Amino acid sequence: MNEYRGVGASPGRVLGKALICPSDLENTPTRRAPPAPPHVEWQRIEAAHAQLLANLRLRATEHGAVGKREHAALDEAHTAILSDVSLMEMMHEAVHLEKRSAEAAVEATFGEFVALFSALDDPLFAARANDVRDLRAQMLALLVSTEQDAADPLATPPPDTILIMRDLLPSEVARLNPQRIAGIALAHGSPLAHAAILARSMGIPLVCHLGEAVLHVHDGAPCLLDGAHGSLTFAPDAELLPVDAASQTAGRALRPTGEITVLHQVQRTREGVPVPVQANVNTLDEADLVGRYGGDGIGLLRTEFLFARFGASPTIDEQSTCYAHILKTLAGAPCAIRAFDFGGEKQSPWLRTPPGDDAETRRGVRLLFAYPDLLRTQFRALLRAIRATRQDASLQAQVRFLVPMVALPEEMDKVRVLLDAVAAEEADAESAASVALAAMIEIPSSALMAKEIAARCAMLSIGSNDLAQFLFAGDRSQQDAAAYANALHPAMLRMIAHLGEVAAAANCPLSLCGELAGNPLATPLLLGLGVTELSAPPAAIPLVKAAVGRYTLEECRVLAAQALAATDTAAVLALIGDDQRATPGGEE
Amino acid sequence: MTTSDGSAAAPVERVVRVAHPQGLHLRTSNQIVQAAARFVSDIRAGNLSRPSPLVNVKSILQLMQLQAHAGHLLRLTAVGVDAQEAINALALLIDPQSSTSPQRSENPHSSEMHNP
Repeated sequence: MNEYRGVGASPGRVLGKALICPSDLENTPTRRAPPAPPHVEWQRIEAAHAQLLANLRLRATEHGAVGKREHAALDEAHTAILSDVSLMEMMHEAVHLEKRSAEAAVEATFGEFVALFSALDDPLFAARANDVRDLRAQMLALLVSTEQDAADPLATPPPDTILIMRDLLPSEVARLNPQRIAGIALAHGSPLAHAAILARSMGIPLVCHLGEAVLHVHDGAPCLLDGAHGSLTFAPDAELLPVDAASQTAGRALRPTGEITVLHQVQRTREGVPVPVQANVNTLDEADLVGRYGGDGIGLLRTEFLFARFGASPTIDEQSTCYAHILKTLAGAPCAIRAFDFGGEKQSPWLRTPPGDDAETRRGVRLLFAYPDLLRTQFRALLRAIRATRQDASLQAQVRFLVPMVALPEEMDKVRVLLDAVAAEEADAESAASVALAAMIEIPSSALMAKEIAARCAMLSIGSNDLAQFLFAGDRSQQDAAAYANALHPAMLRMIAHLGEVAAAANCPLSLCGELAGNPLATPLLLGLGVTELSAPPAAIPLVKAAVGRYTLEECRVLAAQALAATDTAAVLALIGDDQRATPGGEE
Repeated sequence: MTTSDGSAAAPVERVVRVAHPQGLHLRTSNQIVQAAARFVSDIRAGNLSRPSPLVNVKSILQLMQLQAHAGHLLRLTAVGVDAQEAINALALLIDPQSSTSPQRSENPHSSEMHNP
């Protein structure tokens, strides 16, 4: 078995045969002859430009007429980009002043914008680079005088093809034959790119970011693509995966139909139990995405990443400004701020440890106890941020403070003593009282002592990645895939079930914020085990919310009971993968 | 708007908050560019809420370089005979709540994004 891990961009689990296909991006034809006189080259550009605009408008009308709204909107957006005044000015300059050929002018001009967009730090805007690349490829195709031969692997592939490409252009998705293409695996790409949006609307599973290695597999090799949890598996173990024809159609049925909808309120199970689905956030820009994807607040703010670019430790003012900004962005939705979680593979760029200190071997709260000023400063900044937002009555911030890597109950007592001291120094008992203290359950000892820990705080939050790693003595940095598989192992599920029982008895919320939370296939299982809140990467929230709405808690508990009785991960995967309600669409 | 000697009026400047929940993404940007194209004035924008270039509002590719999200503050500057009308129209498009009172500036930005 050989598994490639990437980022799921369009859900669905399908079996097929690999077909490596070069993208139009790599097929850019170059012109044989030296440039003709500028006015001739410019006429060629104008002709290709007019032709492409006409094609786009025609496509928009056709797509609109048959109700393909996402396609039509994209065609219109591309029309707008292609009509851009600076594009034409720059190409005109390239041809007339730099004496370039039409092809070279198109390459250079579109290329400059591709580079500009690629360099943007906001992924939503950076993803537009691919739209510019797409238009460049279409312009170049129109400039080529020789007609391309008709055989288009995207339109006429063998049945049950899993397309493997470096990247995918929106115009290529529009050419895809969905009857024959079971799924798409990309070495690069982004779940926010238009190609991914189109793939979702067409119900074609898509995984991106699989890495260049995926381009070197054998054509025709059988493989399993999982668009929900973002993997491509070759030579899948027979017992792990459904391989007969009947389950292949079942895999087909798992495909979503229609565009994913963003739900801007707390999703409820079918019988009406609310399940908050929150966002894992690492940067200020990501905090802006929470509302966009319908997140019910932030379930995990990784503050060590928020200030990762700082050369020195962030001051109280810098921290409180950032926290206040995020609290305001959330407009009253809950926000779980995790104390700095350094140690292990996450070394602080600005934490100065004395020579010979064993900081690398200490992690989470134990490291904070060694450097208590980190925790004091952070909590002081948090209190000030809460004070700043309290002036606006509509912003009643719900703040949780997550303590990382708790191993023992008394550590929570120690943290509380520290925080009470800071609150006293700040003379702000009111803000301090509004902070709910929560323990991160990432070490098996804390899971086993959960009852005592729950008695000392307001909430338990499972970090499933670390918990699985420590439960199996795994090496997370080396064996990401194995750690992930372990997160669904019955041993791990039994540990979560224990936490579910403890939390229910203590009437204490139980959140889960590891990678598992972003996999909609695992959602019913986690709810059945007693998890009451989920926190996932922002882009995964709509899918997870859709999954929550498809079940009753009773159905989830039945599924969980079956999974708890399983002997290995494969049986659990079969159990959740076989369930046809697990992805959007179906027969609702 | 021309002065008595016929030369172009001083630059008209205005700070507007992005109201659209999606920010200035493709569709919103396109509306703004379409509106800007109706004026002869030169219209530039910069994003005050994050580091960004000063861009030509008549170019959608440049406008998206602002990476403007809902709540960001944009500074619009127009120079030309219909600068005031242009600024009023664009401000209203970017934030329908914005009032129509103009702000004048004698010191427009000197650095600008000519060709990216």
